[in-house]
Amino acid sequence: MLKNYTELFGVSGCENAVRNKILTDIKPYITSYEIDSMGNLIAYKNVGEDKKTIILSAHMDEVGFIVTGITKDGMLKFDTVGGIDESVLVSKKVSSGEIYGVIGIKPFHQCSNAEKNEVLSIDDLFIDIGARNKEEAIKYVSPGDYFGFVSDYTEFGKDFIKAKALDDRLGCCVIIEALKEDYDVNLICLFNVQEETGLRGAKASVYGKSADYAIVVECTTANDLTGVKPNMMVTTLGEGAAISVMDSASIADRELFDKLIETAEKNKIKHQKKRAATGGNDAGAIHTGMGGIKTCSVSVPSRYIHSPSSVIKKSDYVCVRNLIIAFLKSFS
Amino acid sequence: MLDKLIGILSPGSYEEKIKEFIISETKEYISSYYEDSFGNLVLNIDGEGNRKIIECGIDEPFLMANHFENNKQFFTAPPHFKAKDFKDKELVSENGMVVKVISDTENEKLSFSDLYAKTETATDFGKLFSYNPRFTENKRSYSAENIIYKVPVYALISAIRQLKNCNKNITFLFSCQKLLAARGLRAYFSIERDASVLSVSCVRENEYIECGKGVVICAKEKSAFVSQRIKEKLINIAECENIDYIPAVLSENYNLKAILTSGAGAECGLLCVPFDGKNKIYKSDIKKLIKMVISYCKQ
Repeated sequence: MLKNYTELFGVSGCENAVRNKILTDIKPYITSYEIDSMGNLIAYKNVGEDKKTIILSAHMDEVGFIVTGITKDGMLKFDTVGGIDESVLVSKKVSSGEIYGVIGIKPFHQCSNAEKNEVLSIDDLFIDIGARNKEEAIKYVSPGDYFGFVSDYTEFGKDFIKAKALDDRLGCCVIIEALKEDYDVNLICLFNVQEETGLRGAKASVYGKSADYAIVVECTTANDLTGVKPNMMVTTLGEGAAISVMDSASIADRELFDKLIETAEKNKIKHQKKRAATGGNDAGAIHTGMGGIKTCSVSVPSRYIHSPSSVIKKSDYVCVRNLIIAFLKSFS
Repeated sequence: MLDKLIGILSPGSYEEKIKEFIISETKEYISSYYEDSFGNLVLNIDGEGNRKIIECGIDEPFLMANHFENNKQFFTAPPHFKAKDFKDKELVSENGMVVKVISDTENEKLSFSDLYAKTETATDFGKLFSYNPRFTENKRSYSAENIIYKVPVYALISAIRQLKNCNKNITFLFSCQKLLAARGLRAYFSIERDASVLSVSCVRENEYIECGKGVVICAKEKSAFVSQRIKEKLINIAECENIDYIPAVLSENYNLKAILTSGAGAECGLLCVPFDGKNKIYKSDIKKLIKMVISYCKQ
């Protein structure tokens, strides 16, 4: 499932393909759904008004690029959509869904010493779609068109997965898998748009929703690498589901946080606490929505997040999925 | 009461004890109270007229324990705080452990990962440390590391206790996580309509604002213009009742935007008490602040 979902094109603002596939996959397991005016897919699995209601949330979008102009020689100037480190971009394959290209830069051996020492800027880069000049390029591309990374889903090493858009297609996949089971709680599943550009979808999707708890299923930074100070590490690959205490956008509700830890321990599900207060996700929008909702994030740790080669451990994904299902079952 | 309040630590998301204290000090003077689902404490006095909301934050800055190694306790913190504000400060943990935060890095380059405390005792990950208050009092003023986060709460409690026979509809909102981009306010006002809000806070002394010269009635803060109607009402109260005041335009952010633009929008005024660089606040200014709040509620 992860392979199919990570290979879909879904840059923030262009989540149609992801939404359509999710809808097809969840229809047999839900009682109703709506697509709001922002494009969020909101699925309901109701069991009764007297039961507790839990929100599960993941975002459908991924980071990418938007074309801002076309040069005389047919190269596409672009800006990033969402947070991307420019240093990962050079020579990467990208696509608009129909048109393929490669991110280019002035050849290194033609750069002056001063240029070689400069920090790479988005202004130095362009997308080469193989057009001979501007006239040819505009037949295929216009300013405002979106491009995303092209990167195969690959399993490697012992239990490792490399893919693009693991953030947050794996959250979508966890919720889809969770929906296949039955529970004694009402579920509201938010598949949000535009998380990467400021939690915009979640601000709209949570509007009008009332819930006892909200769990945001996410992909988070794992900087368990050589050279990172131990007190700067966020999560570690292979150590299980990462339960957030705090990030830049929210502090986890203590009651819900404790319940998740208790569920993980009771069911012997490997888990870790997300340690540094970095990043932010849709929990930031959800926990202040509709008068406040008790919210906590549960994440799969990922190395090289927001790059075409994000890396996770499959076992961590399984831990997150099992924890979400066990938590929902604990209400029966 | 202020000394007790200052001794109750209330780092963001850990505001239970201060809420209990507020309830215990006010419950016989109010009509009802509740905590909303975010955790904000809402106290109501029932009476006549459109309901006014008087608001202040109840949280204070904190560091979170995140790693212990070689007798060094390291910390993390949300981006809303500045690492340099904690360097060389004494902090106290949720369970009363006092540590001094040090760093080997210069202030300009300081980040939270550079801060640590020397201690033989590791603190569990996720536990919060606040400023050790070190409260002092003399004839003219109070002083404490965290005083600017407590005086607004003290002023509102004092006002409530003097409003027993007030026949007006008033809500006192003690908002959680206000220092963290006003999350409690955003949650509360996401479902509140047509609100009229007076926010109460503290403001640092500067060339225009002097401690001991009365309350500060704000016309604008960094991110928002205040309601002209509420500002004029406050000025009118101050002049009618001979309360010293300083009209001011503030360059810092007081999170009014969270009130003005959330939900269906709201009007908001800002009333402050000045403090100096040593976290000292004049008693006379606090009395004037309380008097202003009471008069505003009674109008």
